[in-house]
Amino acid sequence: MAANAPAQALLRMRGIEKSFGVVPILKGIDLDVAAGELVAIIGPSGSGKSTLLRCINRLEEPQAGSIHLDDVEITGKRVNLSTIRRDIGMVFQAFNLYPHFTAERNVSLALSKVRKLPAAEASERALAALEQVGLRHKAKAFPAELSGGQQQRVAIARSMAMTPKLYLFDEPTSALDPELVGEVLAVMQEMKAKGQTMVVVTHEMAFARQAADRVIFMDEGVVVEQGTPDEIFRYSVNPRLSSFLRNYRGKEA
Amino acid sequence: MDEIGKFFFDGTIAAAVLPFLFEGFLVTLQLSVLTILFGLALGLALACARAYGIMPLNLLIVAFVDILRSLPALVILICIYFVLPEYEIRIDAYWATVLTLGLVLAAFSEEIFWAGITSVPKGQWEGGLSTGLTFTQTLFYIVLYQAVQMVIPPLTNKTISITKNTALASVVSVSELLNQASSQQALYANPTPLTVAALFYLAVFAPLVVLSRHIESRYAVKR
Repeated sequence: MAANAPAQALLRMRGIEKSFGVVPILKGIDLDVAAGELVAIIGPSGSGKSTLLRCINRLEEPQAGSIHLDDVEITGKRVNLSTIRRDIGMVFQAFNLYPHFTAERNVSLALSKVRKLPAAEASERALAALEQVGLRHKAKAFPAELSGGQQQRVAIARSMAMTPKLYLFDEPTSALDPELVGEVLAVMQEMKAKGQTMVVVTHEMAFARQAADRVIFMDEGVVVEQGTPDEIFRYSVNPRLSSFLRNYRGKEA
Repeated sequence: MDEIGKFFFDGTIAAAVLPFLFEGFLVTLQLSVLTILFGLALGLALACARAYGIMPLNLLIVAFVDILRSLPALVILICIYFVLPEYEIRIDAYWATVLTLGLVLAAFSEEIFWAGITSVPKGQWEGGLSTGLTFTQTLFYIVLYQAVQMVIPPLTNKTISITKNTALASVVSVSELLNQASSQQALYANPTPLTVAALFYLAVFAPLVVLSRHIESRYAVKR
């Protein structure tokens, strides 16, 4: 490990660049996330926030820059993606549960195939994870038999069961009916209370304000502003941020 | 009217030819089962191989599939049975038939399986990969089941229509059902054996059609 790297940050991103064709999406992003921190990333559609998140577990390949998790370089040429990804949980906007497996099997699949746990132990850990999101009683249900909120909680349990060092949430409540958003955010708040490290791309400003340690505002592929929720939501005088937030309040009203 | 009926189905002749046709029926049944097993297994294997996106390999697969889908099965059979021996490759008529129909079914089913694989939403791949599953694990545990489930109706349809071509084996003188029926028909100078053969064909393929309906509804995608 490089001696001059900041020791306290769990995740360190430096100079991340990415373009789709000729369209630049990320224009050199630096971002550190400390262990136990909840970082919320906000910004307009097309600002690159989801792409940035997906670079962290290399569902997108950054074209320049480096990413470290602990002392492992994620962006290294010879890294084993499977090894990296088992330590980075990801929760998607569309849940992406496996429709042909029960909730329990959705959670235990990676435990048995990636962590190579024996069936009984994988199942036990899957049930414990489902318990944490309040869905142990739905272990035998198929995704189609669950509400959107329940499906997303199963998806969170799927990440949780792998006990990753870092969680990535890509607009986890954007596909949910408004009355189902609360149950998912509640689970995320519990995770935060237990000291998990989380990076959350979100349109839920109330959640960002209330639960985040730090809020990142991105626009057009750069980090425009970052700070505590108060600094971002109350005291910032940045014109792009103000315009974004104003626009946002307009939509919510 | 009665006489016409008797002409196409003469009870005495039917009874006399039944043992021959039954032998032919068994051969047709075997050819069909072997074609389905070989064809679908190869088709699925090719579709899976194609998913890895290895360029030279994919070009070969696509070329194989397109050529076999363009040629009539009878032409392929004749090539395998009559032309290959010129190059010292001899395959007996029975296996030439299985090979021909199996390859044709493999080509068509590869396209169908491939359509299924590409129709599985990208999020399913990402869900699997993000938990640390490898590409191969994601393909086999998550994607393939959903892919096959989606394509069962066109798959069973194509399987049945290709497998019925076992009748082509009569051209290379395999004593399957149609061949037996034609010789008996010539012997008696009466079409009754063909009528009986048609009933036997129903006995092979009607259950297959019913079975495919059952599979379709059993594995229908829940919405």
